[in-house]
Amino acid sequence: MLAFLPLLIRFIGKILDWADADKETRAAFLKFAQTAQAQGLISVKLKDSYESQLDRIKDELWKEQSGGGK
Amino acid sequence: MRSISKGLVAFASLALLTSCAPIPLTPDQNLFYKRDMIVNVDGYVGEGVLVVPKKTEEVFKFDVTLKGKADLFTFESCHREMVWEQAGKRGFFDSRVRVQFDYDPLNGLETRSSCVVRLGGYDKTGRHSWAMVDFEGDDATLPAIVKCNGAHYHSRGVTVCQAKVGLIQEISFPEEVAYSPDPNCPLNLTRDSARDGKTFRFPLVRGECVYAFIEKNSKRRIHRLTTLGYDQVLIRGN
Repeated sequence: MLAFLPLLIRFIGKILDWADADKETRAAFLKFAQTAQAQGLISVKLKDSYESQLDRIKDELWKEQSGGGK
Repeated sequence: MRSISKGLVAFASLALLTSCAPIPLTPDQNLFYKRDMIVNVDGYVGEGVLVVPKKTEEVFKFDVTLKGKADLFTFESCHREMVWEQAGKRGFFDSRVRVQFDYDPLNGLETRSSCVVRLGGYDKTGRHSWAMVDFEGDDATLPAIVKCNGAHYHSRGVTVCQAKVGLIQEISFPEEVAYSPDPNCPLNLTRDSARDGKTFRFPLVRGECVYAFIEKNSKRRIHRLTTLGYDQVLIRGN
């Protein structure tokens, strides 16, 4: 029975390491997920950027057409 | 003797289980990773990015295959955000996680202009994956020839191009176009790019950017180009 003691100790050590690593990865996961949430409304930013570009371009084209542009 | 052999079997099984546990990854929050979720929308499939052709029915059927688990799955459009914990199903013979849902864009809010859908799958072991989907519509119908990350294809009016940041991509239009990019997303033409107002050869900017091009002739058709310039590919080793 004593022959299994080193194996048992190694096994318990591995389980403890695993639990620690799991705790760390869970913390990293939560941090990552929260950061992803916090980066905020990228779809809206893209929409705003796109629409303001359209407005600018239409304005420039209108100016060009009416002779007031570059 | 019998209890020893039982103990051995139990130990071997547990050791096998622990050795199968995935090695945790720690993705860097400051890096923009390549979008590589496999997205299938109504039979159209893309890896990380997809443009869904225009259709008459209103509901889009999403079938997403993640590169890790979906301990947290997020869906974001310009109008809504949906978040699911422990989402998706794993196949009996397939270890990959799939998330299936219907997306019924709200008329006027999500069907006009740019309203991309961004998907995120977050895995406790760091095997995250992402995707971006844009939709063709009546508002962007100016066709273009696109050379993006090794692919050379015809786009009907809406393009999403993903490549490593700084790599040179190209888009060309049949007519001269006007454009006015956002200062955060400059469209710096390369030295060898044509200056004819039709062809644009440019290095990809980091992160997500959108560009509008309007035909200078009387038709005034629009092309929408969304770009994703990634820093790194998330190597998951699975």
